Amino acid sequence: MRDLIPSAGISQPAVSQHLAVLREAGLVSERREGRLVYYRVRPKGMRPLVDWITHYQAFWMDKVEGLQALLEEMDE
Amino acid sequence: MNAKTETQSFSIEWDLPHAPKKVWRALTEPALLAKWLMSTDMQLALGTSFTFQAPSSPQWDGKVNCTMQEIEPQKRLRYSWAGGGLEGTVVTWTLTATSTGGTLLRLEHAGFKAGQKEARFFEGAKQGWQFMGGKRLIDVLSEMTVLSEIQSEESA
Repeated sequence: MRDLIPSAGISQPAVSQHLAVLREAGLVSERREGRLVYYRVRPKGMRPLVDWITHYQAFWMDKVEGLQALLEEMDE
Repeated sequence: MNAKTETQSFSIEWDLPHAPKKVWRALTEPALLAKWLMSTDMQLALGTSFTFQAPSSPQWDGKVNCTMQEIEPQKRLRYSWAGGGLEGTVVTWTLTATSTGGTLLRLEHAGFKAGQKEARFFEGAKQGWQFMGGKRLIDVLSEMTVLSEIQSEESA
């Protein structure tokens, strides 16, 4: 968490709160070692959803560009 | 199945200078679909199954399996969309005539589940689907601006 705070630009309690929400949602897991807590993104949590949606947004944007070109060529 | 599953959808809109009748043809006639989307055996009949066929790769057979769910000529077309590990999504096209004789075309792609496996499809898709004009993914995304939105909804 010490590593997160400078880059997140928010206070330690705020970072803790965000991480707690992410942990409950199953998107991150934590591992304690003494005073340190290590968090890691759970690949089965967040990644696939984001990737499928990102993929298909790009897919449809690209395909409809082709559709628009085709419509220009088509007779009314 | 009492567990609630969160699904996500996104929608994109295009303002097209072409009449709904013409846009509808491009969305439903296999010969035209093959030119801009993928080759397909789509039939305009409710409940029928059909496929879109992308180039296959070692990771993915290139098949997208669909079932026709709604047909309202020149207004709305809806079919399920599954393949390569992606299941349970639905594609809906909505056409609205504009005052200038064109069409507001809206696409909604819904039913993305959290934790759905990425599988071979995504890898295969990167290889099998050629983005037109050799555009990189990031270039396409940068053009999306405000028209795309991600919605979150709860479904039983």
